[in-house]
Amino acid sequence: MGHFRLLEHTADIGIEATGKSPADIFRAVAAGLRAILGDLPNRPCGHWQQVSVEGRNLDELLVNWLNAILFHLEVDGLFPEQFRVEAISSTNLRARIGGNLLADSPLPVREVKAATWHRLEVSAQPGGWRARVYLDL
Amino acid sequence: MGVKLQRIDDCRWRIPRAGAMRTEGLVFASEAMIRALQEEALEQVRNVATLPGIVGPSLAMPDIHWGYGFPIGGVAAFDADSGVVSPGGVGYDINCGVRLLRSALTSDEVAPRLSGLADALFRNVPSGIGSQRRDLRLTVAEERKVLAQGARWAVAKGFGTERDLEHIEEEGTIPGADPDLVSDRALERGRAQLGTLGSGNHFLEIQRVDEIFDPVAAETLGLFCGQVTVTIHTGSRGLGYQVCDDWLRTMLDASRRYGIDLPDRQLCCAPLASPEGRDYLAAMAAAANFAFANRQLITAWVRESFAQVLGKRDDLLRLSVVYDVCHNIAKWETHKVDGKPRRLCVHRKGATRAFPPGHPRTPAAYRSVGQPVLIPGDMGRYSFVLVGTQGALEETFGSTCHGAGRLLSRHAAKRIARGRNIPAELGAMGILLRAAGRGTVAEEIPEAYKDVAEVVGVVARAGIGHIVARLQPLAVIKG
Repeated sequence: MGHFRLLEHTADIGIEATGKSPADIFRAVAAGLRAILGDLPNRPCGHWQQVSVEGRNLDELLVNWLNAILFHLEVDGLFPEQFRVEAISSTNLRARIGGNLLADSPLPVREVKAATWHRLEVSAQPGGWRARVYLDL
Repeated sequence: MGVKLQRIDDCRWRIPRAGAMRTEGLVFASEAMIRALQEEALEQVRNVATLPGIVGPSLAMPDIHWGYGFPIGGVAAFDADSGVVSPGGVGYDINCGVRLLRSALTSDEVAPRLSGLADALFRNVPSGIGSQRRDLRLTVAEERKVLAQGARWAVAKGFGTERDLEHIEEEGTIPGADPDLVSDRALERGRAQLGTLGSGNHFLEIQRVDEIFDPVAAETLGLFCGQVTVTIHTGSRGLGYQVCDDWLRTMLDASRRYGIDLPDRQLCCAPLASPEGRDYLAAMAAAANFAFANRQLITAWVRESFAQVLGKRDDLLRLSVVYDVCHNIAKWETHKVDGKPRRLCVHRKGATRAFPPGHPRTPAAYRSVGQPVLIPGDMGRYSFVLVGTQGALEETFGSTCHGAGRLLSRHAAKRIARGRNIPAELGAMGILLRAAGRGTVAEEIPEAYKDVAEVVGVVARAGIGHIVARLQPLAVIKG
């Protein structure tokens, strides 16, 4: 089970996550993104979206994973609540985004433009993994 | 402070060339601004100075703050042959910009209907995340025309007039846009978002001209004291974000291929003369054109809203475009360097073009006073209208600031706003607020920003902009 904390930034915001495995930190960073999108209690998921993401390394995979969540929020109106990592390698991620459609239950959502490459880091640490990513708000 | 900074005068600071820097940094700021500035923003000025082919200093305007890649408020020019183009020097919100409309109305005339106007604008211009217009869902073929033609597409569809186009930077169409270089994913994100405001710091504001500093320039721009104006601040929405994201990947590869060392991966870039560089500029131009069309459509719905609420014909309201400026863009421009004209690609990341009187790119109607520069402040204080100057052309590649610049992180702003009723506070100042989300309002409280009067004060003292008028908010619509 991973954990995240939000990092201060003047205009934007960062997420730092730690966990025992890449799957842990990918889930934890996504949970950090969820916390940024809405200061709201988590709700049961009424809708699940399967996603497959590719990248040339874990850094790129993380950016692409977060941007895939933002894509489905913007295009399908899927407000994310839960994240299931089904399979992960250094170049591929198969995951499910659970959430609710904004069309069914509108929410005040903060716009996140994208996950950036600024100070991006995914690394193995003694005893686990750590990730840091900044978002453009 | 890790980044060495030398004071030049009361509004200029030099970061001397050191290490991998190919040029020095030049920051426009007062001493108080420098004291409040985060180290990371100066590191970013320094990082930009390491990029190949940079011409002149790595510049930062007085609204500088920590961004990602370039600092916000960053300006850098690159040589056509040896220089690079970087999507991080433009940002995700390609051609985020500001448009100012003037009217024939006074604030006294509008006051009794102000609440109705704010409601109508909030209703007619979709705002908030994923906001869409159900009545304007483009086909892919039509969306590609938007990308090629920009604001001209909107005018051809009946949303505005030819005269509007004369008062937009690049007449509302960046040349060389290639819709084929925009991904299906970007097209999908943009399709339902044309004519929407979005969220975050984007806004629509009804204002009153409350002070004129240069009567001749104000008259030339059609501004008078007590006049109602409307400011539109938005950009290329999800389409632009996706174009940036797509091209960052290409540029990361290109940076490796061309042997460019990057102090921050967000600064990934390609030579301007390379296929990657040329293609990025063509894709960026397409997204920039989407933003011009977006502000043009919103203008049409502002006009419609005023006509609905005030019961007057549009020609009597005379809501006309003063000007429309880009904040996040990379553009080919010719500038004199060491007395000789050079074709440069000028990146403005949170900065505004500010061409002087007499410049051929300044619209004919304003050529005697200079290109209008629109500087929004925060939602509780004021905004400013400036014009470009010769000083800006000579010292900053014709650039100046773009806004107040954030002072507090969003988290810090929310902490300060906790327990306060921000709409009521604004109401007590005579400012109506309509917002899609409470969280955004808390993050956008006036204290979160520098006082824009101080920012434009530095600009004026440095001679990189000339103050014409001040605008006071009457009603703010936020996403």
